[in-house]
Amino acid sequence: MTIAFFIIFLFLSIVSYGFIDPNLILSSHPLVISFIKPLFHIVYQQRLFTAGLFFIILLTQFFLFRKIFINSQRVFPSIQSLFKYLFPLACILVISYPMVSYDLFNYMTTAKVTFTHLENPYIVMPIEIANEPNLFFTRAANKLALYGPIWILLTWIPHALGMGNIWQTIISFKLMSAFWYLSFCFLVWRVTKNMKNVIFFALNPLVLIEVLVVGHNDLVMMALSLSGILLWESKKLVNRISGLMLLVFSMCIKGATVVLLPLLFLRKFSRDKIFLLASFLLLILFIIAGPIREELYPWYAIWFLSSASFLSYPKYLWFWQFGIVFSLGLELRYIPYMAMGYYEGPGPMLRTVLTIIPVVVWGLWKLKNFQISKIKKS
Amino acid sequence: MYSKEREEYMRTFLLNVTISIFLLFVICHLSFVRAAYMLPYPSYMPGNRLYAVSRMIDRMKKYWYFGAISQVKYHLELSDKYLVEAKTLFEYKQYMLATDALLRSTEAFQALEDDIRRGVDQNKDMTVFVDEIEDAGSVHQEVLLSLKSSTPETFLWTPEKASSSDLFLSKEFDYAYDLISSTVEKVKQL
Repeated sequence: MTIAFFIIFLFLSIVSYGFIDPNLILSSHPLVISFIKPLFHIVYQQRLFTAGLFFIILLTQFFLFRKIFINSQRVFPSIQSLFKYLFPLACILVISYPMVSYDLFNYMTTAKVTFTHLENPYIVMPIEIANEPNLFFTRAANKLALYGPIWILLTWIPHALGMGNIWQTIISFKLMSAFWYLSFCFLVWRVTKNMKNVIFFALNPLVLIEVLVVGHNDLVMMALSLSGILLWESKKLVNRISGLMLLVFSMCIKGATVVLLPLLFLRKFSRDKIFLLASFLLLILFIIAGPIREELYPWYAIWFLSSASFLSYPKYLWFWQFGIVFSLGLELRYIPYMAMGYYEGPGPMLRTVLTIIPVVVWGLWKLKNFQISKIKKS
Repeated sequence: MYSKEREEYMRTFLLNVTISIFLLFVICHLSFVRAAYMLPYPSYMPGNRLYAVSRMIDRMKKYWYFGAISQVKYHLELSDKYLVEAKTLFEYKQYMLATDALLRSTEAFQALEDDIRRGVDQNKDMTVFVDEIEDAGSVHQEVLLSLKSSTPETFLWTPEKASSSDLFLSKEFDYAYDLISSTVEKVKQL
């Protein structure tokens, strides 16, 4: 089961290089070119096949994830065994290509504007540096920095490690994501001491794809804010101040965690209730504010999934189940673009339908189970 | 018959001319309309309680606008702002304050040369900004000419508690005009 899960992600990591931007040359080495060329041909020429393949990969990943989650005690008898599994898994995903989103390139180019060109990214758009080579493959280059100053400062590390090489920079950025991912998984274990909680988050295919394949920064924001909330519970003033600072830092990455501020005043609430409220607030923000701003981006699900991973098991299993089916629905949103090559036309409608279907099926299944148990009781 | 033929000839001629002009515009992207460089609305003026705050923010912004391109934006913004301030003050015949604002505007414009040089030294393509400075320069000069024509050449400034002094307004305009010209020329050569 775990081997199959590993192999399917290894396969995804290989296939991801087919999604390389046509204007991006990672390396001119013949071996690299001969590796990427056939994959590139499949992804850009055989769109329906690619979409179908991605669909099968996703279904397999979620199926195996469910299996591992159910048999977690048997599969991972100790936390060490889980981390021994997560580490190589993170490694193979770190070397993958950020296939379904261009955000990583945006982070890279913004870091370059700041640390190489020494320009204020809140004043100068990447596109204003007309001879910047990253513009060939960066999208949203006509926008000022989209993230807060803490994120910009953090990007100095992978930017410096990248040493001007694009591939090296991509991997450096994802190494940073992997660091936050493993740290957050450890935090979940440290707080809950429950393997199910760690597995719920760590092996969720959406988390693995969005954090380790695509390299989104949402987990950095969430790790800081949730650590902040946990520290805020302490009675020591130093810890509480540190907690508040972490929450403020997280808001200085993305503003989304500002919705968690009211939770600081609910001192009498139990940890479970705080995290349930946090999950709901982040879920509502994701569902309502996401489409108002732009659209329902799958990586925003990390907000509520990370928070939900602190909930008690099996008390809030229903919320986890919802989180998992919703994750599947959100990842399916990539399929219309893969099949068609454009976002417009029937794309928005198809994306909505694909997102809703797994949730509706799960809802009906839940309703059926509820009715059966009701009949049995009566 | 003759007039009908002539009419037909004229119609064909006009049609050909119309098509030719259309093609000329489409193929050569010819346009008589040029996106004009826009000056901002006047900000807080001297005498307003927030004027000092606004000036302080202007000074602080210098550190926020780090980087060669950012500095171009900063100095251009500042130069525009102070020119509009000067224009308004000249219109209200507040010549002493107006000349001070004009001097600040010119100084900010002059600083653009160093900003562009810095950008070029850092291997940044500054062409867009050079064009923008050129556009800004011509708009500034236009404003200066119009102010010069509506302002006396000299003005005797008599403050309440000090001796009076002559303000050579015309010379101030000429000085600002020449400085803008020379800055634009220098920037274009970089």
